[in-house]
Amino acid sequence: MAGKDSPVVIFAKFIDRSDSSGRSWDFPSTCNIHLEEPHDCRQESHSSPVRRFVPSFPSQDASGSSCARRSAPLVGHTGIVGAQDATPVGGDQEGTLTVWSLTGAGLNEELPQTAAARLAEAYPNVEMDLQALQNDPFKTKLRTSIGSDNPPDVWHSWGGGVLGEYAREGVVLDLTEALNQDGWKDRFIPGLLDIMKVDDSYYGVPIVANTVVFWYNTELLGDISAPATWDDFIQLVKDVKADGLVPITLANQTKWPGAFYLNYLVLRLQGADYLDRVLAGEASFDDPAVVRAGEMIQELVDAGAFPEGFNGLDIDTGGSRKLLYGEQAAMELMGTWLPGTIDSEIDDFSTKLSFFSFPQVEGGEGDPSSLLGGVSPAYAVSQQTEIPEVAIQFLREITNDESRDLVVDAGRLAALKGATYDTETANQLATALEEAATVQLFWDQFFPPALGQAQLDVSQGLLSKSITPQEGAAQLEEAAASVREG
Amino acid sequence: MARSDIQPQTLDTYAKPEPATLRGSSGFQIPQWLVAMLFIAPALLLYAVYVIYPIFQSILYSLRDWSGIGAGTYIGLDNYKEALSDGIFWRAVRNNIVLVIASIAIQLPIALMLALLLSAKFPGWRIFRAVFFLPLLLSTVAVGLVWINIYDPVFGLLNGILGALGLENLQQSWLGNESTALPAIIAVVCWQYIPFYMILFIAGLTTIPLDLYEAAKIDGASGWRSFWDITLPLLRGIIRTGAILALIGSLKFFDLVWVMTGGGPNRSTELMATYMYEEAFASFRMGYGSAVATLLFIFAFVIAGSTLIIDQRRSNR
Repeated sequence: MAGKDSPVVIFAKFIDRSDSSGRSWDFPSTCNIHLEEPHDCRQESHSSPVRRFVPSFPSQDASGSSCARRSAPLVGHTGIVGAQDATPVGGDQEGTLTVWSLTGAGLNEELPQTAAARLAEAYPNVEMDLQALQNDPFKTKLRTSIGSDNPPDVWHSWGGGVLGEYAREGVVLDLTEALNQDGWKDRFIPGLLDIMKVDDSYYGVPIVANTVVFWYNTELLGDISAPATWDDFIQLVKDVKADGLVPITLANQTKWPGAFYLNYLVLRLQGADYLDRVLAGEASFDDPAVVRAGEMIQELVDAGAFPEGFNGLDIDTGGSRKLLYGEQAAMELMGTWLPGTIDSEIDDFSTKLSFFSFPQVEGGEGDPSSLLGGVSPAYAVSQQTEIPEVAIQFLREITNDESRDLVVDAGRLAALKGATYDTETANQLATALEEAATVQLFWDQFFPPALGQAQLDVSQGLLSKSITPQEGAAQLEEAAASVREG
Repeated sequence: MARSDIQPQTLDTYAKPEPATLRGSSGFQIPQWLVAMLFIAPALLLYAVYVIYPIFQSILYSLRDWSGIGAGTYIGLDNYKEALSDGIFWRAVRNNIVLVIASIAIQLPIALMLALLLSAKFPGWRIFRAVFFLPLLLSTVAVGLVWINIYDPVFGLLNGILGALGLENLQQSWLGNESTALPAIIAVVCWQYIPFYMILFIAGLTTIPLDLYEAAKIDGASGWRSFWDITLPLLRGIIRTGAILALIGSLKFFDLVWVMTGGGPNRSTELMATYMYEEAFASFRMGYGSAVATLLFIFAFVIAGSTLIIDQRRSNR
């Protein structure tokens, strides 16, 4: 629709191209289902000589033969149907199921690919169109496609404020009824499914859970005991600094890595329901506790916790991790995806890592077991899809036991119950997640986008000491006020 | 249709068209402007649909409070009022002006100098021309990534060289300090775009007849004098073109900044285009983003237009 092609939108398309460019350095890869002869390695599962739809994907992962990767889910399919008995055979469904996911080594692409492969079995007349996009181009392209009434059938979501906006605009399909069938809803860890809840209805399903902890290099710090309080933590930072190391590495060009500090400190100081009360206008960001959070962040900066020029380091190109690898920095406050990222960059380094939770703050109202985190990937379905049955079935496939096992095998935390982890670290993280009083969604995902961006700016300002804690609190409240009005 | 299906007489018809049919039997001639229009039409249509129309559409969006989905609400000129009292917007404008001045004042003279040197045809000039031209051929993202690493405070080449020279006190976190981030990016912009103007000037230099220099030499003019009185005046048109290209390019500059700093730290490298992008596609304030885009359009239009008009008047005199 030409009417939507404002310069901004055209610009978005430019960014989408060249900037799968900017942030991303590779073009959105598309994988389509082609009509092709079954390969040798698949013939054990498909002995029929009939041409059929077989998903084929560009091999993204150098490790492992593509045959083995492809045949595995197909072979496993019969087991799944038997086990859950909920997979209808949908030979009558026709059309194309368009799924937009994020690029990324491993799960981001593997989960939708394997789920689509299984789905293709049950729906031979449905073409699977899987597209994987880089993070920023993905957000831009999705918003543009929704704005021009041409969204994909299924897309990656982070839940929270953006999903809430889509739900209130009637763009995403209400999944509550489907979740109540066949005990689907009971497969999820409740606190994580709630991230997909908007006004008492569910609009998406989570697969992978993330939480943020302090990772540290055990070879540099030895067997430290986790600092229980903020004061202990500051002391640890000072001790590590005295040893000539950068205590905590941080690459804050994109602002979200540094925002973890503000998000966590406010969670510790103000408790779980504070953000809801702020949005409802029952509480204000211009609060002594928020000012105190700002002071504590600047206390860390003054203690020399962070590397030189951290606001100019780019996390996507390894700006923070280089210091870990060079054994110049000891810790990093980062999500549970960090070991996986490290594994893709340098062999065996992640085994040196251990973690501790963000310390409690004396006198804070928050439960010390609470965690900052989120879900990704999670998936939502378009209200406009012509094949809702297939789309929902895709979500069931991507949240079944096989998908959960993929998550566990990748060393990540499943948002689904019943996972058994084989490493000590993963077990401890899973326990922490299960026992957390609350999982506070990252602010930039929890809030509507404008406020989410404003808190990123405030965080960077506080970390670089270009604003005072008082100014930070006032700027947050100003942004929150304009969200309340809007 | 297979080739053999074509009847020989059909081929003849195509091969020998009646000359009269081209002009029309009554001798009517298609006016030249209509012919021109017909040739321009396809390109003009695309231009109108994808450039002209969206400019007006975006002006309409800029009058709304709109998140990109739904209809939004009409709020008149509020987005413009907000932009004009928005400190970050003015910071972006200021950074754009700095970039314009730096581009014209640094890139053009260096490019002209390189063009003069490389026109001298000293041994190996072809190699040098290729080497100097290389940065322009690289993808901006690749250039940005390379320079991010050169500027890295701990592992970077630049700080490494400074350290090796004993200039530790000059070592910086080049992209992390608000005071050095913009100059650091401008250096890369110059590095990447000087070759473009260099090629432009080299092409311009080849159009100057050599007899002029010969005649000047016979009259006893020094090399410097020939440059001032022959080269520079005759390159005037090319330099003017280069300056206008640099001006417009700097006003709408986006990519290197986006790759290297994303407009930060603390907005110190924010440009109008990066601010527009952030507001529209990170904060999803499409209306406000469109207002910033419209202001960017007006600025570029007015500045480039008035430059052209002033220049036109001068050359007419």
